[in-house]
Amino acid sequence: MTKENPRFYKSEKKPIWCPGCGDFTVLTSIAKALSQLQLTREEVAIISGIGCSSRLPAYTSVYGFHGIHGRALPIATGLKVARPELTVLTVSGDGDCFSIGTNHFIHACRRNVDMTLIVMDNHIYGMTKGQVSPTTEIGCDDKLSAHATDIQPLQPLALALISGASYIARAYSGEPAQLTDILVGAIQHPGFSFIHVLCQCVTYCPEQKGWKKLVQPFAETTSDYAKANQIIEQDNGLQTGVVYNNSRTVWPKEKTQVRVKSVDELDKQFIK
Amino acid sequence: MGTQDLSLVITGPGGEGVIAAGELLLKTAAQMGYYGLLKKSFGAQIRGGESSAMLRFSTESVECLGSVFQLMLVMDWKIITPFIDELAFNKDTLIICDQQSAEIPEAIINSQAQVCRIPLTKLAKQLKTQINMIGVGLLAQLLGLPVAQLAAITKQQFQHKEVALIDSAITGIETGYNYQLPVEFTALSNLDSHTKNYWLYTGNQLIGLGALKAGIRFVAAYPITPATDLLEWLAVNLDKVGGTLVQAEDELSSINMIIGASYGGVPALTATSGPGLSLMSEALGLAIASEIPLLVVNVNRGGPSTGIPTKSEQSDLNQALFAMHGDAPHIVTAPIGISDCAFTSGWSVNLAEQLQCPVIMLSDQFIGHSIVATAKPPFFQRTAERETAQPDDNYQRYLNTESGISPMAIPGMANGMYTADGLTHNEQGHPCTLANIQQQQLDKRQRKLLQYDYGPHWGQVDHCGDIKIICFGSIRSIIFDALTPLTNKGIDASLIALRLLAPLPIKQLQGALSAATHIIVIEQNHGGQLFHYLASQLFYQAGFSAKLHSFAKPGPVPFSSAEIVQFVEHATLLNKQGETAND
Ligand SMILES: Cc1ncc(C[n+]2csc(CCOP(=O)(O)OP(=O)(O)O)c2C)c(N)n1
Ligand code: SF4
Ligand SMILES: [Mg+2]
Repeated sequence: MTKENPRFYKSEKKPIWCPGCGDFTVLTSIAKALSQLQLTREEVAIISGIGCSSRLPAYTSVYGFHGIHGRALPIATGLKVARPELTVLTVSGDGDCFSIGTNHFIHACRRNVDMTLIVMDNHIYGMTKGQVSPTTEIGCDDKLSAHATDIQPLQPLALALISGASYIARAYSGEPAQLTDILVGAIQHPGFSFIHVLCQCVTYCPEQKGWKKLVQPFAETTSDYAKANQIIEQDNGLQTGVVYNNSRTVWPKEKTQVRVKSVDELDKQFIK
Repeated sequence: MGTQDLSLVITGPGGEGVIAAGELLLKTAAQMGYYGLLKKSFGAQIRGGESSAMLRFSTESVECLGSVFQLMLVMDWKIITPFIDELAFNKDTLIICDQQSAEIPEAIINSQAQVCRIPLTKLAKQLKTQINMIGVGLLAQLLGLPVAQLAAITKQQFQHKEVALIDSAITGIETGYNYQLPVEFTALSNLDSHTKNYWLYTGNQLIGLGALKAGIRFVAAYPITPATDLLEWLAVNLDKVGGTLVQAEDELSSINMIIGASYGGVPALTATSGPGLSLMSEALGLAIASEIPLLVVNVNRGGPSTGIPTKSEQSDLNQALFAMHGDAPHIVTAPIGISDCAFTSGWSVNLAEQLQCPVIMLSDQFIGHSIVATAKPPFFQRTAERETAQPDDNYQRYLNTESGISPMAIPGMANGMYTADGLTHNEQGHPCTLANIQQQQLDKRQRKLLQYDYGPHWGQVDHCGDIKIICFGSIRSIIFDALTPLTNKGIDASLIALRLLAPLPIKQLQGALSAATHIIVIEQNHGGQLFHYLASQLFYQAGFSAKLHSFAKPGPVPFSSAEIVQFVEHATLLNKQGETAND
């Protein structure tokens, strides 16, 4: 098998996901995007946290790190800053990224390290069997309360924008070709790119199959912050496409150069 | 004949240049050939709180203060009175204080220390100079330090300041130096051998230097006292050697960032203190399970919770040993004192890299913040690098080798692609819940630490004697100072300082303790953490007939060698009289 074949980027392992889970499409789209970009497998690393979605790295044939709940972005940041020549992707879930790991999400957007974040948002904690997540809609069943949830869902795109992300997109697991295109753009984008994927959980949110009829493309892609803000403000959470694509200084600016002949030169400052 | 070992303290409100004054004296004495120590002590406030520079000069290398201050310079009693119990003085102490300062506290009057009041504030106003500089001059006069050298060092230390300020500092020093003091004091004796080159460093800086020499090129951290200045040193110096420091958004992030960097093949560390270490414990478990080398330097401050950020303690031992859930073997080290910091940090990096596991190095505020003037410190000579793989198609990341160490593939290596995982995994790294796999991988991770030959570096043993004292970290030098007075009292004690706390070097300790009649564990925390750890790992074993004693005392006040002499004397004396002494 060669780089031209997306299957080249998948491993032999059989995913643990339920049949019909949106995570399958994301896996395939990632493989397709890596294939389209003709990336060498050992030069790519996919980092994740914990959740159904976070199981993804092991199903690819590139380097992977299945870390701990909420901390995928810091691992990815450390890797990318230490090894800038690698292509680094992070895959995460709505619980992983917008609940336990929200702080890292905000700071990854602001820091603008050159890497891509894919959040597979099913509006639910799949792995722990269906509790509400920060993106669960008001009125949904809440397993840890006697009532339906009555808390306002978090707006990932708005949070990404105000936090400084320079590439913001939404995709839908039912439209893999669009997701692949968006991924290619995101990986090529210099700086931090964020793809919010509506990713259906057939087991705990079967109604998400209805997304198919509801998703619609964003009216436009803009590089204007105010305009993006306006579009995102009016977003119903079911629009897809790249909504914001802007260039911003990537961090860190450049790889630091060795400026001493030997590390022993550091001794000098202590010798009086 | 002058004195050859002297401790003094300069105290005043924070922001009045107390520490700068101490540094000037330290450097001048060092140029005369004296070894020296400067312990900084601050209140919580940035400005205006109590602040002290505690100094010791000696003809031997020193890493702690003497039991009593022979000299005290007090700028303002009001600030220091609440903390007066934390200073050691007696009738032989000479105290110089400002005439205008508040009333002399009762404890000082009762001690019959000699107090000499000088119009410091008035003089400083008249001559448009600073009190701390007049103080430096006065102390230099009493200590017999050469004023010309002191002035030169002052100019150098303040070289980035305005000329007017430097001039006024020199005026202050000269004023103090020439002031007619109505008291007698035995100055430091002149040394024949002037040191041409001496080293001046803090423990924090030395940890950084040792780590960079051992190959650390990535640091992620979140600021926290008393580790911040270590990070600041690293930021500047990493840059010179082509490394990077990332200020993370919190410690959850910093520890995971270094996991990412080290997974990428770049040796990495973070530095923190108690609260930060607490936040890191889940990720430390991940590093253990996924077998990622890394170093966490924990500069212990007073705990629990926010505790006493600016003061020293050894109370994070339990956390360093046991914070992780599950069976999580890892390495815990501690420097044997300030000068040992580079050696231990270098060794710790080496252990982490070789054994593919996190190392927690337990330092403390005393070690981190004290400045010493001394000879060139020892450095660890790197013995081996991380064992990386030469992967082929059948590469197995977590191969169950005899040594327990599995060659590691690094992103970028062809054929090595694997997914590192915190889930229980098999040799390929695939998640797996089978009992035999759980057993195999737990065994492997334990075996690699237990089979490794730590050589002579596990600890340091000083003196012989049937009475064995065990400790770690900054208090070793204080206990060491108690050994000679104990010998003079007919008590022969041997001192064991542990550099390796986990895995506990059981065999080596058994050897060192073989003839013990008494084992005394001394540590600076409330609960006797080291004592209980040793009890559970070692003392419970058959053949331990020695009487066991725990001397545990929390911060913020350091131990004094005098109280250690007293404790050891009491503990061993009771036994001579046939009483049990299982305090
Ligand atoms: C520190 C910690 N807390 C809780 C858990 C339990 N846990 C595992 S996955 C998960 C939620 C995952 O939700 P999400 O990120 O949305 O992933 P999904 O399964 O929906 O794809 C939780 C709470 C954990 N593994 N670690
Ligand atoms: S529980 Fe939901 S999210 Fe998890 S694998 Fe099944 S369908 Fe996918
Ligand atoms: Mg989810």
